[in-house]
Amino acid sequence: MSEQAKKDIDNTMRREKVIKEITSELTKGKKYKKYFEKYNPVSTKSFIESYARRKAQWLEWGPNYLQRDINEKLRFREMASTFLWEIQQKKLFNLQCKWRAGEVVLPGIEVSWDFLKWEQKIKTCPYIDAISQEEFDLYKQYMTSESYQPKHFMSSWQGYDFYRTEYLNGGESMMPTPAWYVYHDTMMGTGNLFMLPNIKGDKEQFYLNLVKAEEDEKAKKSKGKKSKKNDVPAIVKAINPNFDGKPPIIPDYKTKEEFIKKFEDKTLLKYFKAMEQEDDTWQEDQALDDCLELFSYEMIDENMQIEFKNPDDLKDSIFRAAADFELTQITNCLDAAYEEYQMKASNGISFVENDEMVEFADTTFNSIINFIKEQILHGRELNGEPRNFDY
Amino acid sequence: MAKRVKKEEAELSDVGKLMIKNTKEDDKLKQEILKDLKKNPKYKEYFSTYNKQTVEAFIKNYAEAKWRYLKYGEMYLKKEDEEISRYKNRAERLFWLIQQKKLFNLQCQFRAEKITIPGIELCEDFDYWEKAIKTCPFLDRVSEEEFNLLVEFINSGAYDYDNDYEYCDWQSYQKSFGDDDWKKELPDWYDFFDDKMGTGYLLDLPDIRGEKELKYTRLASKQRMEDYKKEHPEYNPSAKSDPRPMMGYSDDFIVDFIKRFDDPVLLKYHALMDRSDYDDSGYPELSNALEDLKNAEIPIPVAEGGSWQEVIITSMAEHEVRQLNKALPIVFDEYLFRLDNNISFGYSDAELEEQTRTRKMIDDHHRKSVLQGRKLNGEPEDLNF
Repeated sequence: MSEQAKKDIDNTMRREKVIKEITSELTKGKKYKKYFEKYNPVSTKSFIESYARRKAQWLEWGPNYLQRDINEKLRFREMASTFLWEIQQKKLFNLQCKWRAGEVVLPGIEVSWDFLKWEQKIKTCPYIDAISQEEFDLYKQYMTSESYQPKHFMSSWQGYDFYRTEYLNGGESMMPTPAWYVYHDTMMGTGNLFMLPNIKGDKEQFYLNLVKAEEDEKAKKSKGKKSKKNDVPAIVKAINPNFDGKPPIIPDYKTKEEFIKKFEDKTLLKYFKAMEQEDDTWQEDQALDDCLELFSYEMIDENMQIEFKNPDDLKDSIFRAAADFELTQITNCLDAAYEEYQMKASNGISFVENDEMVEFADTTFNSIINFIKEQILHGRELNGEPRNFDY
Repeated sequence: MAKRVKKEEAELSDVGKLMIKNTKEDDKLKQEILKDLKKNPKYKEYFSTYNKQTVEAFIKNYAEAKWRYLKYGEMYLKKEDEEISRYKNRAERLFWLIQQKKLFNLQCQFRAEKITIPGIELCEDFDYWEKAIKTCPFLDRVSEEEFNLLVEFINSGAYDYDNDYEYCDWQSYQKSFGDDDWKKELPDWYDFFDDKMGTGYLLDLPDIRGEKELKYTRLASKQRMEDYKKEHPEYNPSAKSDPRPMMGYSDDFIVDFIKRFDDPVLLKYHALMDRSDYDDSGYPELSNALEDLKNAEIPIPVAEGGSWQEVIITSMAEHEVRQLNKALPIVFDEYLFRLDNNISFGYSDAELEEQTRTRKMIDDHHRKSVLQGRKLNGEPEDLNF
């Protein structure tokens, strides 16, 4: 028997024991006697059985539910605290523009990719000042304006190339410039930072191109001699030296479907199709349920009016009403979040970054950056220049 | 150790025993699937093309998924069938209501002994034809006028979005059991039909045949009771039952009980754990509306309404009417095509089972009771009365 099954059985036994104890207490306990005597004994027996089962569940899961409820109530406050760091992201981004133009030197920043690392660790980034009242006021003004838009999931905070191209050439890229950046630039006139030359970035590209040309040349010469292991891109080898060179198998809809068609009978394929929805459909259904939960409990608690703003599309209206509610809740928490930020900053209490983010930035991401740095240094050598970043 | 566990298991409640039995069975199946994926050589070549670490994760994930498909697949398959062409299926079900009403009108006349119908011997035979309405031999074909009346009904305020028309008893004739109130219980569609077609008077016809049958079945029932008493001398129906009120499971009982006897924190747990995913209190139609909304392939215009629940329900109800208006003419055309080309109407396996079950029920119980009643009344044991 599997460990999981053993655990499940243990849990069932423990729960049943609790049920038994509660039932016995309710049946024999003197304090209930008078109460139960008022009712038909057939029904009290059923009531006791049902109550005991439910009480056992409350005792087992209740604390978790309560914690979840508390977390839910703190959610907007925590989101407001997280949002504040967008102010710092923009300041770091502006600094990146200046660094690329050679206007500033930042100790520890050797290549433009270093900014991507600090994006992950913005709370401890040493190159930017604390958030000032003016900066906070501007951000709050943005959050409550019509200009507010959640960041596109593809966009990163320090993704320079896409945003500069968008600024200089217009149009919208697959990584659209965050609305906060556009708002900031409009209000503060910082858009002209994009007009600064990208000297560092262009040089980096020049050295990387030299390396690429060398690799292409090598590949041409050794054509036909390649083993599978050598097919692994150098960057992947740098990050994970033990990588076996094979693609990952991901248990998504498409792969499972392919696997079932190859190895299973047609009935299982039917079951699979009936039970598994493609991710986006499932996610949309789940999102709709979440909206209704929000309407049912949180919005009612806050006496919030639910407005259906898109008369042509009920689903869209539901999503928008929920998003509007969340945004209002977050902006309502911004002042408190900033107060807490100031209190911590003025008392020298450090800001702690999410462990996962730090780990990612310091391990996998760092390996990628180190690989790129190595390539650039090699490019410098190929160009007859010293192996350093003083260019 | 194993003995002690066995002993503890034996002492569990039935629910506990069942839960453990299910856990063991589920685990066995999961282990078999896992073993097959890991050991069966047929997968070897396929998995060898992928990264080893991810293959392990895939096997775990797939084994769990396969177990779910095998355990619940059949159930979902049925659910999915229902989802296919939701509105076309709904339109089809609604279409046959035309014939149900015409059959009900015939039943009223049969009960009043105004007509005889070959093949109908007892009032309960109408229950059978309710289940076999598509092939009922003594109904005229649906006319253009009747079809238009149904369309008019769907578009009128009388059509009820959440009334599950599939589960109505279309031939249930309750006149014998009460006064004129039984008319109020009739389906909205019947009221609408009677109002437009002037057939309401059929409801006022006397239920001569039904009362005769009732007389015989009562005699049979009385006899059965006497037989039972002879076999069970301890049976004493006149013994007084406990006059105290019954306890229920509703929120009122639970909350009252916790307040009186238990830890107040349980009130919080109860409120959080026993609440529904969303507030549908007072809106039984909401879950259907939400299901329809999730399945909608096109944007649904927002209807007017007070609460958000009403907006969703009304929007989906209006959407349904729009879709039914598109689907119904197609259903009617198909119906006419089948009739004109002698293509029979099919039944699903479930419908056929239902027909057989109904036929058996009528023959085994009602027919038998009537014949027994006739005999007890000193009359010939046949249905000529």
